[in-house]
Order: sequence, then C-alpha cells, then structure tokens
Amino acid sequence: MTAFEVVLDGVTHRYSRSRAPALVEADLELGAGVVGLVGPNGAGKTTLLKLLLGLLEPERGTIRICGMLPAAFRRTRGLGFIPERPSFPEYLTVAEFLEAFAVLQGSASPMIGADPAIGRMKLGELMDFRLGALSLGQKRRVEVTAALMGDPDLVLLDEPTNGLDPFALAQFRALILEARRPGRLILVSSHHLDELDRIAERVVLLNEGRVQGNWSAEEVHSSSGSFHEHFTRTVVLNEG
Amino acid sequence: MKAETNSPGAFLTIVRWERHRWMRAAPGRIALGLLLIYPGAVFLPFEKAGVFSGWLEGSSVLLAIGILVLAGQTGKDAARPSPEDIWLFQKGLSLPDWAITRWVIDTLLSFLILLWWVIVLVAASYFRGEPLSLLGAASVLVWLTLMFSLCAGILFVVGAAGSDRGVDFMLLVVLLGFTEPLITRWLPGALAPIADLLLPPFLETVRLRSVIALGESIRIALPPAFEIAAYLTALLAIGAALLSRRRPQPR
Repeated sequence: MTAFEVVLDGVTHRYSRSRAPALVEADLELGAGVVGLVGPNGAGKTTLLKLLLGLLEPERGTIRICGMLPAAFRRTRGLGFIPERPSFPEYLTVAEFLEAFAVLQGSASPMIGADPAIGRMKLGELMDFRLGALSLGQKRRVEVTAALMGDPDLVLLDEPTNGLDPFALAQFRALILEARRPGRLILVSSHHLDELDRIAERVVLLNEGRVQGNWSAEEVHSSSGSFHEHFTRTVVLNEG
Repeated sequence: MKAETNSPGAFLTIVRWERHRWMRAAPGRIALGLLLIYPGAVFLPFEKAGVFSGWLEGSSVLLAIGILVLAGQTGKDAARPSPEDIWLFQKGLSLPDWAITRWVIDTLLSFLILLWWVIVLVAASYFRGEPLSLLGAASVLVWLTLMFSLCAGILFVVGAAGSDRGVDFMLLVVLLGFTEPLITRWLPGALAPIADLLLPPFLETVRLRSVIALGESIRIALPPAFEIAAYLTALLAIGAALLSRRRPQPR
C-alpha cells in the first residue's frame, strides 16, 4: 500500500489585497481515507480545495502532496476534482466524454468499459444521452466516474451533494463508499453533516479561514454523538 | 495515472470533440448547412445591380462578408476560458496546447469550407461563360484564406484574454484594418507607423490577391506576404502567452 499524505504548513491565501484572507496560517496533515471538510459559508473550504488542485497559489506557507507541490502532483499523477456546479461540454454524450478520458489516461483499450470506474457507477443506461440533457443526480454520477478514471490517489469533491434529492443522495453516498481504497484520499467539502457522518472517517472544520479542528469520526462520536451536534457546539456555541 | 497532452490519443480526442462540437453546438448542423449554400449567391446577377464593376467584384464582396460570418461562427469560442476546462486541467493536460490544437483544427476545417466556396465561384464563372483562370481562382482562395486566418487569429487572442466579446472586437478591428490609409493619414507623424504596425494587414491580403491574379513577380508578393505572416505569428504568440497564465474557473 502506498502511503499518501497531504501536508499544509502555515498556508495563507487571499484573493486580493483589499480582501480578508480566505485561508489563514492553515496547518493540516491528512492521510488516505474519506475526509469531510466542513464549515460555514466563506470558511475557506473551496479555497483549500483549489489550492490542493493547483488552481490557486498560497500567498504564504507550503503545500505538499506526497512530497510534491500541488501543480507538480497534478501534472505527474493526475487527480479527480468535482466542482460545486457541474460543468461539461454539453454537446457530448456520456460515452463520448468518458471515452475521451479513457484515451487521455492512456488506457490500454480505448473501450470505456475497460476502466473500473465505469462499471462501479452503473452508467450503462445513460451512455448515449447528451450531457446537457442529464438531471443533476445523473450529472453527479458522470462527474464521479470521470473524476475516478485513471484511478487517482487524490479526489476532491466540492459540495457534491448540493441540490440532490434523497434518492440521488443515497446513490452518491454509495458511490463514495465504493470509491474508497487504501492509498486514496477523498476530501469532501459539504454542508450535509448527516451525509458526512455516514461516509467520513475524519472531519476537518474550517471557520473564518482557520483550521479549527481535525478529528477522527470516533472522536466526534464519542464526544458529541454526531457531526451535527459536534459542529453546533464548536461553531455556533463556540465550545470548541 | 498521468494524461499526455501530446499523445496521439489526446490529438484524436480533440479531433473527435471538435467534430461533435461542429455538428451539434457551434456552428451546428443548420449553420453549417447555411455556410455551405451561402456561396450559391454568387450566381446572382451582380453586374445588373449597378453597384459593382462586374460579377466577380460583387461575388468577392459577398464572400468577404461571408468570411466575417464564418469566422464568427467557427471561431467565437476560440481559446475562450470555459468552466469545463477543469476536466482537462485536473487530469494534468496543458490547456494552452489543447486550445491551440483546437484552433488549428477549427481553422483547417474552415479552410475546407473556403475551398468549397471557391469551387462554387469557379462553377459560377463557367455558368456565366466567363471562366476564371487558374491564377484567378487561386488568388481568390489565397485572399479568402488569409482574411479568414487574420480574423481567426484576432478571435484567438481575444478569447485567450478571457473576453467573450471576440466577434464584436474582430468586426471593429476589421473595419480599422480596411480604413488604415485614412487613419494613418489623419494621425500625427509619429503615431502613423505605430498604427500601421498594430492594425491587421487586411489591405495586404487584397494586394496579394492582385499580385497573384495578375501573375506578377514573386518579389512583389513577398512584402505583403511577409507582413501578413508576421502579424499572424504575433497574434498566435500573444494568444499562447495569455493562455499559459490561464487557470480554469470552475463554477
């Protein structure tokens, strides 16, 4: 099993000099597993994901993913990222979109069925549909599939459950649980604490740009019973 | 696993995606059909309109207007940032490489449409009993191709700069390019050479067309050809430099 680790050391990022920093002196160490990233709106969750993706550069501090800078990690090993709102080339069918990823990832066979991610996501009935014609839940399934193609070790999900109905939510939860494997970090930013409670092995709390907590699920459950209760106490009642 | 931008697989993927985009989104089947039947208008009796000196001049003006439409249709998204770029970015692909390859494919496909336009023009010349010579047909093809390349180059730079108003800007620049003699005469002496340098050499394409049509010495053709080539190269270099700093903006 490959040891996987993400290390943030004193990371600060601001979008412009006139604005308050979106992330302040963030220190964080994460290993493989499903990790929930929670916090109020504007806490810095999306900023953290964008920094890990290499979309943003930290103003101060360093980020290392398996010892590499995020951009180098992305260029050499690739990763999976699902943005908050689905964005696809909508003129393509699901099959055309995913097939391209199979080819781009250097799959031995250009047949998209060759990638294990396809089989797991059960997209068979959607393959000939245009991406622009899919429901939000269906788009999320395609996104998860595309993000997992090439079997990346780092998967970043930004509010992936927003707007999903309970059925799609359950389906999404199953997809994430199936995508777990040793040596892979799945970092899920979400406001759905009950959902995270069911999938996350660890949870990181961001508040006003600062890392306010980094607990295992067991720690949270033994101290407060649930993620929801824990964050109500930590953030709202400020008992953290 | 790392994705390779320069692999044959990546190139084939861009070709496939562009084919689907052309047929389904931009220009789309209907617009593509209209672009293909558009040169049929060269069969119209321009010589009777009293505006043009002859049918060939009328047809040339019609095709020149068509160039703007074609460039607007096929190049309006050239190099423009799109939220969906995040999919290529996250797999380690180079967005500048991807955008430049797309631009080249779009431009080559547009050249095929231009070739079809000239074939229709030649057919119309035979229909009128005034067949175009080989040099005459070649001069029109070269002229249209260079006009289109300049328009596509302008759209590439504007798209790479992140603007979605590329077609508006292109039309403005085309207008300025064709009125360059007036502008340079009106400007103070020191600014005239700068304007000459900055404005696209659309008039040079017209000069080059005349040189080819009249079968004049290649030495006469070289200066306008060089100016056009240099301008196009500069456009692509600026566009590529702008693209190299770009990061996708997911929604």
